Amino acid sequence: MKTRKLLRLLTLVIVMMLMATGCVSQTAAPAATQAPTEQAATEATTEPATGSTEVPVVKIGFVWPLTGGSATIGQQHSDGALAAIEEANANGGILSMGGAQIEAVVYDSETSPDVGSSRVETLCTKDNVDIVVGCYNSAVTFPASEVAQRYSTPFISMGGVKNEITERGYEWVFRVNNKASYDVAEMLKGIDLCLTTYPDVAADIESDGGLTYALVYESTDWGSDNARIWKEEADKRGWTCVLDEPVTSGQSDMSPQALKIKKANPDVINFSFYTNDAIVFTKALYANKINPRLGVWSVGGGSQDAAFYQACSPAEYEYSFVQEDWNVSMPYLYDWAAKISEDCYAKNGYYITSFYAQGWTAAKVAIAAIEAAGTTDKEAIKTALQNFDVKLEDCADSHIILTGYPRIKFDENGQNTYASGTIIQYQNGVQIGLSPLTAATPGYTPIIPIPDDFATRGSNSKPWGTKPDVK
Amino acid sequence: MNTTERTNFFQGKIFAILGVLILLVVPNFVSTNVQIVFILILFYGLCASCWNIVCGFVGELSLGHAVFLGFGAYISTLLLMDGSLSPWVGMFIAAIITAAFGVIVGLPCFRLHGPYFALTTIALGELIRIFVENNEKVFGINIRGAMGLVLKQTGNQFIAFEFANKITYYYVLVAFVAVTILVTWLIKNSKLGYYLTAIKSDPDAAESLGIKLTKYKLIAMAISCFMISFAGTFYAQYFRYVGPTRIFSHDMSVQIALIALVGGQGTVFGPLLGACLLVPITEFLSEEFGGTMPGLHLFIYGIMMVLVVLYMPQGIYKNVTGFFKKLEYKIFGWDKANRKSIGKGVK
Repeated sequence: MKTRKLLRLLTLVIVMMLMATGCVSQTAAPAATQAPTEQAATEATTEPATGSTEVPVVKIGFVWPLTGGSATIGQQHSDGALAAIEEANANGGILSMGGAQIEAVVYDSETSPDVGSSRVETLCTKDNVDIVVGCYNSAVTFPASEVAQRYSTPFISMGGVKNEITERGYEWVFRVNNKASYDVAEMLKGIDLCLTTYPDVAADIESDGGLTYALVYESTDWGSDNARIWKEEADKRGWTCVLDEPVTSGQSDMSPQALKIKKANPDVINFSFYTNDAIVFTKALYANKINPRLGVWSVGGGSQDAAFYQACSPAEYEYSFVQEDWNVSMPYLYDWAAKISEDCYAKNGYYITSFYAQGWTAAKVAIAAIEAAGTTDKEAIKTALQNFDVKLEDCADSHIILTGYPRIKFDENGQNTYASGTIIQYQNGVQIGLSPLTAATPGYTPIIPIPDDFATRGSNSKPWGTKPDVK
Repeated sequence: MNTTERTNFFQGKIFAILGVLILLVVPNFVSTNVQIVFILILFYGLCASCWNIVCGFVGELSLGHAVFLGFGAYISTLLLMDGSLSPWVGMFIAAIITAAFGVIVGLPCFRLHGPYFALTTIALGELIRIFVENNEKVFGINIRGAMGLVLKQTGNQFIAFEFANKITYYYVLVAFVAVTILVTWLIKNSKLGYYLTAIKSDPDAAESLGIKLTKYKLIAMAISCFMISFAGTFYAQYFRYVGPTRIFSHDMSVQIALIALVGGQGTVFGPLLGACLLVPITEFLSEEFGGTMPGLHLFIYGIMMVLVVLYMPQGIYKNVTGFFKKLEYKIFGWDKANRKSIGKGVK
């Protein structure tokens, strides 16, 4: 009898939880969608373009990895996207549509390709969104964008770097961020910058038989793609691969990989891992005192995640190079970006990251495309995206390009060819922008060869997120 | 068949027939989004039913069945991409190869029992996933490593297993599920089924009676792998992408096993019933809370799983069918005597 009573009680609790969360969902929707302020709504109502008194609603669908291996990253994308919509609504919504409110419909891809595809399908068929934005992971974005293509719904890819996402001739798919080949090109340019800045180091490497590198990456679509492109480009330069090490995601210890690297003794280590693996790998490198003379280079991923810097000590990531998928100097270069960063900190407890900026920019591009189209007709939105052309210097009011790309303009494949990131190096725990020049922190140069200062490393480091002292 | 016999035939089955009718008819009149949920119900129901053939009847817990699902998906897709072979033909080739692989795997694995068998199947799943993720080519065939296989859109082509609407995919799955249920029913009511039940109940006793344990377990394994391979082909054609990280994943294996366990292992309709319960819940929770409260849907799903396992360890099949039979007797006012006679008749 007791068991039955307990069962009934538990069932009651679950039903109540379901009802309660259901209620939250309904009331949270406007919060998540960041409905316009009363003032904006009034303006929109009093001056509708169509002459109707009813304010239309524009729906933007988002699919991010909110659970699973990339959860912390997806959450930052979502934070940025929702904040962008909040700002747009506060500024009157879609003005060309009489101040239409923007409603965000957010789904979780669970970092899974089939779930992500299903959610995009739900957005297209059930929620009837006007445009879809997602999905960060290349493996999810790839099939999910195909669903959008099938339903003739504009799809803005943000985060996924797999080259082929915009190489399939899909007219409904647009990618704002960089491709994998751009990432690698930026890192190689960064290494070139190091070598040209320090010719003596370059000469040493040359006298030792040329530059050697080790590739360590998670054995997924993204990691393998990055390693493949790196190898292709490095081969062209005559560099030697001394270790090519795919690693299964979810390792609790990467000492074996660290020992292999130590044995191979490369000049450069390039790794691509999401947050958890990036933490484990970085700690293993530090514990084994691995110190390649040209440093450890990460192709973003987990190394751009605020959670990474909470888990690792400054000593562990000191001197490391990261290919950040945005211009890290944005908050120092533009007041409006600095304000967004402060707002982000106040609301979420972290200053803007690459992921936050990406989510923001993707949402802003979607909003701007609808604004340009002046309608929710998907064909018109697609045309607006095809004709989209915004420069960073023109974003003082619109705040579209928080990522700091010099321009957003899509080529015939839907790829923003102006997407670029920043090569940064951690110096005393502070992110120092090195290349390109537009993102470089004035007065700094890369530190190579990496000092063998394990005994004191990190002792003077400032907390992560500290602004650099511009010299 | 006179009227009384006809009445007797329907007694105790009316809700089951209604359920089947719902699955057959309702998807025609619902939105595409609901059709997708129906497709997922049948897909996971199909996978769980295949798992049930070997694990439900033999009583071993396989937590690596996604491997066979992935084999079906990969082989038929590679035959289509590299050999331009229609998936309708390719899926049979894939099924034969998968069944053969299942037998090869089963030979050493069936020497183990209980947790050892379960652990071995987990290891097998991880082994295959890691192997595929890290190898571009196998025997000269380009399996594209972690990048996975991508099927390009070719339009609405029956021969290419590509349809313009969801309902066609759904009815293809209905056919697959119907065949699998029929095969399961035939096994359950055949000599093989009795042998498997005997093996499950007491392997030593079954062996002492002359039942060759390994032989019949392997037969069940081959049938299970053969059938789940079709589900793999469907997965590839439906999602148009097969990546090793998902299709060979431990998550997928556990999901298949849990659906069958919750539904009722060793029963003909239990796994499908499990899918009818769990898949809509998963979809509903994920859609409702996935974006606003990340992880809550998984939390609630987990609690429900724990409750089912704690209070209905044999699965929901008996409770659900019992409930609907009682309801049926109440609605139609059939007396208990008649009920007993029907019960005997069914026996």
